[in-house]
Amino acid sequence: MKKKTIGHAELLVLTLLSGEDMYGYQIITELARRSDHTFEMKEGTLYPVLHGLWKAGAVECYEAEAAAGRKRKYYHITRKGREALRTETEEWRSYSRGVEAVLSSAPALG
Amino acid sequence: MRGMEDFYKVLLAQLHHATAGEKEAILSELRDHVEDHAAFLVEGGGDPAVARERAVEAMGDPAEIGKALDAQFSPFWLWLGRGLGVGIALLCVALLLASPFLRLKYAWESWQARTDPESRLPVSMRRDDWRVSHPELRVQVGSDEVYIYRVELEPESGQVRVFLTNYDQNIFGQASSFLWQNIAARVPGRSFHTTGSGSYNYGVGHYILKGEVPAGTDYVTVESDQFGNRFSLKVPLDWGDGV
Repeated sequence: MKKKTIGHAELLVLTLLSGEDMYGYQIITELARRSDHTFEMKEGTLYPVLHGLWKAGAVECYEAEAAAGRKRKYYHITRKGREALRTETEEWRSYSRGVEAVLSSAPALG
Repeated sequence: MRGMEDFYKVLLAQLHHATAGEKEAILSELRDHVEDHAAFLVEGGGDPAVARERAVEAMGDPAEIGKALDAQFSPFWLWLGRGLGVGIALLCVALLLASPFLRLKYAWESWQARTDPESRLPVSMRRDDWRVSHPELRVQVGSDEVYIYRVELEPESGQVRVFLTNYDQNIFGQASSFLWQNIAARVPGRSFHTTGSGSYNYGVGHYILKGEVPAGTDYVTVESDQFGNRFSLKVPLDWGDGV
């Protein structure tokens, strides 16, 4: 990916796709389930995210039949996407540790 | 249902840079998503119509989604497609407009061939230092006319060059392109090896027969027989006072 950093939504989507190929609605429900409903985005906003990842070469898509027998557009993470995910995950963890360290240094509230 | 169609309509209105195929793909995927969500709600015991409405609501603001999607599309392919469409349309118009002009051009060349074919002869193809005569021989062959308008002869070597042209009898008609394929020339009682070269466009064909004749030969006979279209013309040779 050309962009040095990717957004949180992209990071979360790539993380889900690193486990298995998914279609749009499946990504939304899985995101809500795994985050214990912390991330409940407006569902339509997922598609600009997916399209952006596809354009960047981080995911590719194909059509296949889902369990209900209907055709679905599935997304698959590419090698490029996995590399971006690894880099971004490390950066996010580093950032998260930094924030946590600052928060921990603050006097106890209340 | 109305809310659903409005959702797609508002979203589509934002897709300025997507091609028709890309718009269709986006709509199809979004429809699938709404159907999936609605099916999930129905499974939980909801009313199908209400379930669809709720599924559409859960999608969010269609204008916002449309704008975000549109930002992902490069206008390049869209403009390329439109450019090609405009280009093809312009080409068709140009061809339609050019056709009468081409017809006039061919008619003008046909007119020149029947009235003054020498004007089309490049200087490099003439042997003006040879003996030049203008036999003015014309014969109808099928729908065409063949015109022998110039003969060049070098008395010392006996080399002869016969200039012919053909054109349709109708000035706007197409000249036959195969008249020269079986053309030959002979002199009385002797074989006469000829070579030739020619050119052809829609309205006119030009041909030059080249060969060598014995000194004093009165004429060469130029003849052709192709697909039943035949002609035979005696072309007098002018040896001047030397022979």
